[in-house]
Parts: sequence; structure tokens; C-alpha cells
Amino acid sequence: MAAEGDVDLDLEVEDNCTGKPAEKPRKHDSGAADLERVTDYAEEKEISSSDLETAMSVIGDRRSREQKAKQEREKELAKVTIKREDVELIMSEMEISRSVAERGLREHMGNVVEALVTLTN
Amino acid sequence: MPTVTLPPKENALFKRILRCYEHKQYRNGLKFCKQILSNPKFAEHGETLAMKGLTLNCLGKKEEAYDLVRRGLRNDLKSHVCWHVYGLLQRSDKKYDEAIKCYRNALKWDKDNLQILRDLSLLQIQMRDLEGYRETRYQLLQLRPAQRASWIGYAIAYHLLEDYEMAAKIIEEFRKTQQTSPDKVDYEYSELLLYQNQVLREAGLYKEALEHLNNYEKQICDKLAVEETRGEILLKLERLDDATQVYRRLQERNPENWAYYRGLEGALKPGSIEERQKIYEDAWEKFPKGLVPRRLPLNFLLGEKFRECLDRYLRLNFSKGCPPVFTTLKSLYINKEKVAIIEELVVGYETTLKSCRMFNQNDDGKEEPPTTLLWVQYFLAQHYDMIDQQTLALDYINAAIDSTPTLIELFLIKAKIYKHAGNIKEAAQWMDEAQALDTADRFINSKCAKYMLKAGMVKEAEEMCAKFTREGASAVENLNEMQCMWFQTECALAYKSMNKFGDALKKCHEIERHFVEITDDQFDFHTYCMRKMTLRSYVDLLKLEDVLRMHPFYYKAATSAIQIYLSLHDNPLTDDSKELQADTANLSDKELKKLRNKQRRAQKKAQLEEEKKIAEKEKQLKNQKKKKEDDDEEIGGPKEELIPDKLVKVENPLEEAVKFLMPLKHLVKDKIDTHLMAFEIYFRKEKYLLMLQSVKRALAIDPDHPWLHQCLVRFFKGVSDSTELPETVRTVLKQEITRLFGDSNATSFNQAYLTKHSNSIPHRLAAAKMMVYLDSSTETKATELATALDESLNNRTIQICTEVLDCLRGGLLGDCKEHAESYRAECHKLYPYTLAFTPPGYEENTKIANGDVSTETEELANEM
Repeated sequence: MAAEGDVDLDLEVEDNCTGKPAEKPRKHDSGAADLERVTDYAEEKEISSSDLETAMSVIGDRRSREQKAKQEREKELAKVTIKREDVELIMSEMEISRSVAERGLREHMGNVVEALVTLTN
Repeated sequence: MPTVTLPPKENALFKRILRCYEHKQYRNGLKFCKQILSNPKFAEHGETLAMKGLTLNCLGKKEEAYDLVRRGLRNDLKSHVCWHVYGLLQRSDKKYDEAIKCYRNALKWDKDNLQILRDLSLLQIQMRDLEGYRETRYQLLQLRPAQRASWIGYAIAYHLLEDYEMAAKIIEEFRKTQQTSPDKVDYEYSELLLYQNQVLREAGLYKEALEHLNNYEKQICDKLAVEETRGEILLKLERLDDATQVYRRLQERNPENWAYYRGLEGALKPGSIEERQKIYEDAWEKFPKGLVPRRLPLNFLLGEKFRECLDRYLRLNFSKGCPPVFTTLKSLYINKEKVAIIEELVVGYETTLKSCRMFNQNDDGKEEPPTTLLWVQYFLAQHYDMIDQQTLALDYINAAIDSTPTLIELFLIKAKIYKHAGNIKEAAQWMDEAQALDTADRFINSKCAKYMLKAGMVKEAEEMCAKFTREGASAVENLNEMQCMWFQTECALAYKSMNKFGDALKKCHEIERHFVEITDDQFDFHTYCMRKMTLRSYVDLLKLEDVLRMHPFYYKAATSAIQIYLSLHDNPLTDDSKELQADTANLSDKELKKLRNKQRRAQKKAQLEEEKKIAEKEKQLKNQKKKKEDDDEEIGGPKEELIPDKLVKVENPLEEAVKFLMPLKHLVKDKIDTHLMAFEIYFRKEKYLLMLQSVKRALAIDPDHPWLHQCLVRFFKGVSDSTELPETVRTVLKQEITRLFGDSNATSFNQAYLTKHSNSIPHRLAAAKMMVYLDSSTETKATELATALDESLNNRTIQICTEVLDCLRGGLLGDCKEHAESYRAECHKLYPYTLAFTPPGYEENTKIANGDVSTETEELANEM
């Protein structure tokens, strides 16, 4: 209910659409209407600073390093070969989703017994 | 970009549709849709169709909405508008995962669309896809580096991913760009600073945090937070002298705050009990009216010192007449020595107050007012109740009531004593008495309703609550609307004990829905808090929502629901009559006739009631419709109605139980019951590895738990009996069981357990039940084991004795109905007040004695 109330939609085809009012009084509680008013999209004062660039670069560096590390781990895991029937066994015995089952299995280098022992911990 | 571009006239109309949608002028929006769609050239225009669907969704026409939006999307798969609309529709339906997929598709066609990115980020934080959230916030920052929210959102993403340093760095970069004058009060900037400080502390950067605090102190509005934070940081940095000063200043501000004394102790590091006590003695001198410096030392003082300190504390409170003084001491009752001192001291007061109106004969002459004796007796009643000596407790409370028959608190305690003594009916009566003394007091009204529910008087409880609920609406509905969960929990328990599983489940589901609603309500705050810069509270809120279902309200509702689903699995109901049959199975012919009559009467009454209800509902519906037309903004359809009969006939009760269990498995890992309930479910589902998981987790909490023991025995037997387990599963089970228990056979395991715990009643019961489970020829021995009540046995309580009795009656210890009767009689001698142990027919007699009040109850209960 709450979520629907603030269905803000920006469907304008043009690109000049940064903000628009979202004045929809919520009905499920009185405070929300008040709350809505302050959530107007009128973007406040913009930061007018040349510092932005350095700030952005600090963040950028860090980010790319992070992604690399993550990708490597994923790559390593992806290399592990796992058997479909093992995944399905884990899924049905532990009642978990395929992705969790696969990950558990990969993390134990495809050893289904070890994976199950960890999952039952 | 859309595949079909509208000509200028239609394009203008389309924009008006959008505007109408934003302003909730849905009917106008539909008019414009019609104008475009009625032109045969654009009858299948995807974006217009989608918008029409979205608009209809807001008018409550969900099915039509889905049809239209899907049709629109099919006609224009490359339009970000269509995908966005589909996402919004799914979001309004709470299908957040699906909505996220739609937004992603929308972004494929318009990757820099800010609005879609923002909406996506909201869903990601709502769903706690933190990695995804960080990605999206990064894109937003790239696109709009000049906006505050971009920075804040990105920092929060790192904070939630527990990369505190990075979060702190981003905030610092952002902070540098904020121009503020040091003299102006800027609350938002102040909040930002406090948030930054919190992140620094969480990063473990205490030195930096202190520096930060010192630098920006002037610009922070919340001065108390500054001081408290400073104290905390100084303690962490071991700068004890400075910390001492800070905590002394804080103490000056509020001498009743426990935390400041803790801080002071941390800073002064007293080496002995004397030094530790001195901290409080000093405070006592400085703040002679302070109660906290008197109370806190009682936690660590022992023996004579404890008595001295307690003596002063109690006299002060008794003379003043402070009702909750017992509550403040309750936590000391884990220490037997302290309990003995309390008892001796207060009993002494009572004797001397009676004889010479003084706490002690050697006191110099100052007489106490008569109310002092009253409060002392009130205290003693609670004391004896606490240590399970209800007879004495009743003596004291009755004496107090004799002297002051108008004091509500006394009746409240009397009711409580009866409750603890196992007579909830009597307890409810006394609570009603208390309530009658002040009908305008909602606390006592609620208490009374709660006791009534515990006594199975649902109708009366509703009427009781109705005194405070909104007029014109039914009390139950109003309480549901107000998310009054204690009431619903107690209702569920009451229905459950009456075997009205459908009604009980309805209550459990209502509570579950409250939690869903609370989680959903969080959505509003994602944008609001960032804009208002109340980031500390925002992060707190997110963390609270993460563990929301840890709350006892949820735990209780889930437990009840799981228990009901388990018993529905064990004894499935095939048709309506079954429920009643279960009740009537052990009644005589005469009783049966009576019951049938009663039921017939009840049915008639119910019919009338039903008609009334329907009429009421119609009225309400009319009202609602009117309202709907009034403000034209009814969103989404109502939730599926919870119908008791349907709930109880659920196809797969175990799956339903798992739904309630999952949050507990994640959030309430430290409670053994969570894992034991999990075991019960998986045992019935024959999922051996999940059973293994449950017992492993339970074992880590309390390896000797009686219920766990029963799980283990059944588990071992199950493993050795089952033949069709996959090889892998068998290997895992064997490996883990050997590792944890050695080579264990169920019978010898049970025997070993019994030997180890032969002096404790709950453990004996568990072992006895398992003996019968493994080999039904052991009945006699098992019954003997379970029914022993010797003084020398540990853990003898009303609860466990009731459980034994239930087992005897339920045949869990073999066929031993006559044992049940003799056991009941023995328990009755031990616990004369307990309703469960009273002779058969006792209740009937009291009913007559008490007039028709409680007979009425039964009938009313049948009605529902």
C-alpha cells in the first residue's frame, strides 16, 4: 500500500526530466502525507565545486580495484566443474535455491559431501 | 526509444496522460487514453496501452491492468516506458524481484534514465541487494555528481556493505563540498557530521573520530549526543581521566541514567568492591534523591554489605510508597543468597511495622504511616509468588486487600498469583475485579482482556477491549487495524487450546501480515531520510527491519502457527465434523447429549450473529465505496481475505509451517526452540539432512535439552530404519553422526541420557517417552519413570507436571488412563490451586457456584 502511493513515474520522452513533484497524499496514515511533501523532487542546492573531480577520482580508483578482485574470485569459482545431479540433490535435500546450491558446491570444489556438511552447520 | 512515434497532437495527449497519472486524476487520464486509442492508427500503441493499464491499476482493476500493460509491452518491447510501467505495476503488487527485472530491461533501452535508476535503487535497497544498490548508486553519482543524494546514497551503500573506511571517505569528500558558516544552525549538516562520526567509530578509527568530534562540535546541534559519544570514544582510547570528567558531567545532567554509571566504572576501573561501591556512595551524597545510585550496587554487593544497601533502598521506597519496587529487584532473584536476605529483611519489616509502626524496634522513634505496611505486604506477596509459594503470597495479598480494598494494584497481584498457581479462571475473575475499580484505565482493561483470553473467554475479552476501541467498528477488526498484536497472539493461543485451529491460524496470519506491512512501510523512508539527512536513524531503521521478525510477537505467532500446522499434518481434517469429533471422543452419552443441545443453541445464535455481521459488513462496504468515489485514489485490490475454514484445510500444512519457520531460522538462531521446531517439520518431511542441520544447531545451544533428546532418538531411529536414502546423503549422515555422537544406537543413547539425568523430571519424561517410542513393551517402566514426584527430584513445576499428565492421557506413555487419574490426584496435593489437577467435575461445580458467568462462556465459545 505504501509503496504504491509513491509510484513516481518519469515517462517523459525528452531528457530534461530531473525532477517533478510527487504530491500524493498517502491514505494509510496521516504522517505520510506530511512526509510526502518533504520528499518532493525539487533538487536542492547543487554542489558547485571543482573538488568534485578529485573526489570522483578517489572513488573511481577504489572501485575498479574492488571489481577486479571480485571478478577474479568469481572466475575461479566458475572454473570449478560441478555435476548437475549433485546440484539437484543439494537443492532438494536442503530446500534451497539453485544459485545457493551451486555456490556451495563450487566453494567446496565440487565435493558434494563436504558441501552438504557445511550447509548443515 | 519507442518504435512508434506519435504525431504532435497525440504526443501532447500522451504527456497529459502522464500528468494526470502523477496528479491522481485517473479518470481524466483514461479519457485521454481513449482519445489516442480510438484513432485506428494508434489503437495498438504500446505506451498508451501500458499507461492505460497503470491508471486502471490505481482504480483497483488489477486484472485488466495486467492485460493492458502486457499487451502494451508486447506491442513495443523496445520502449523503456513500457518496461518501466510494467515494473511499477509489479512493484505496486509487491513483486519486487520481478519489478527489478523490468527496470533492468527498461534501462537497456535508456541506460541513463535517472528516474528509472532511482526507482531501481529504491527497490534494491528495499530488497537488500546491496551490491546492486552500490552499482546503481554509482551510476547515479556518475550522472549527477552535483546532487547531494547521489553522494549520500553511495556512501550508505558502502556503509551497509560494512566497508566503513570507504563510506567515511565518500562522506568526507562530500562534506568538503558543503559550504556552511560556523555560526548558522544547520540541522542537516549537524546530522551529516554525526553520521560521519558514527561511520568512523564503526570503522574503529577512534582517534580520527575524536578529532572529528572536537573539530565540528560547534556545528552539531545534538549536544547530548556529542558528550555521550565523546565518553564512549575516550573509553575506547583508554584516556580514562578525560572519560571520567565527561561521565561526571553527564551524571550531572541526569543522575538516573544507568549508562553513565557504567561509563564511570569503565573510566575509574575500581580495583575492589569497596572502590566500586564508593562511586555510588559519592553519587548518593551528591544526588540524595537519586534512586539509581542506590539500586545499582545491589547487583554486585554481597552478604552484609548487600543487606545494608538493600535496607536503605527498601526503606526509602516503602516509606514513599513506590509500587514498582519489587520489579526493580526482580533481576536479583537469580542469586539464592540475595533472595534469602530480601525475604528476611522484608518479613522483619512486616513484623515490626505491625507491632510498633517502625521498620526496626531500635529505630529512634520515627513512626511510619500505615501505608508503609501496605506496601511491605504488597512486596511480600510478589516475593512469595516469585519463589512459587503461592499460599503465602495469597496470605499477604489478602491481608493487604483487607486493609485497603480500593487499591487496584493489589487485585492485579492477586490475579497474577492465581495465574502462576495455575488457576487462570480465578485469575481472570480477580483481574476483572481490578478492572471494575477503574474502568477508565486502559492498562488494567488490557490486562483483564489478556487474562480472559488466557482463560478461553474470547467473547468477554472482546467486549472488554471494546470499551476502548473505536465506536461503530467491531473491536476485533479495530484491534487488527491498529496492529494490536498482543491481543491477536493471545486470541490465537485461546483458539488453539479450544481446537479451533482455523480461527487461531487466522490470527497468526494477521500478525504475519502486520510484519509484512511494517517491512513495506520502510519504502517511504529510502527517499525521505536521504533528503532530510537523518542518516543515523535511517541506517538504524534498515538494521531494525533486517531483524524485524526477531520480535517476540512474530516468534509467538510463528510458534503457534507451526504447532498447529504440525498437528494438522498429523491429524488431517477431512470435513467439518472432524474438528468436533476430536472434542467429543472422550465424553459420555449424557455429556454428549448436553453438548449437542448446546451446539444446536449455539448454531441458532451463530446464525443470528452471522446475519447481523453480514448486514454490518454491507453497511461498511457501502461506506467504503462512497469513500472510494470521494477521493478517487483507491490503490490496488484488498488482500485476500483470511477465512478460518480455508486456512485449516490447507493442502500442505508442512510447507505453510516452513514459511513461518524461515525467518526464525535466520534471525532467532540462538533460541533452541527454533531448531527443535525445524526438526519437527523436517522429520515429518523426511528430510534427513535438514534434520541433521537442526539437531547440530540445537546441540550447540543446549546438548541436554529434553526436547532435543527426543529429536535425537527419533533421528537415530529414522536414519537406521530408512532404506531409500541417496548414497551421498547416507555418507554425510554417517560421517556427521559418528563425529558428534560416536557410534550411537537409539536405545543405548536413550539409556545413557536417562542415567545422566535421572534426577530431573523433564529429562525423565523425555527418556520415558522415547522408551515407549522405541519399544512399546516398556510402558510400565516408562510410566513409573515419568510419574515420580519425589521431593528429591529437580525441576518439579506445574508446567512439567501438566505435561506428564497430558502425556499419560494422550497415550504417549502407553495405555495408562488409570495412572493418569492417580497422578492427577498426587499433583493436586502438591498444587492445590492448579486447575489442571482438580478432580473431575470440579470446574462444573464452581461454575454453578459462580453463577452463569462461565457457563455462558462455554456457549459463547462454541458459537464462534
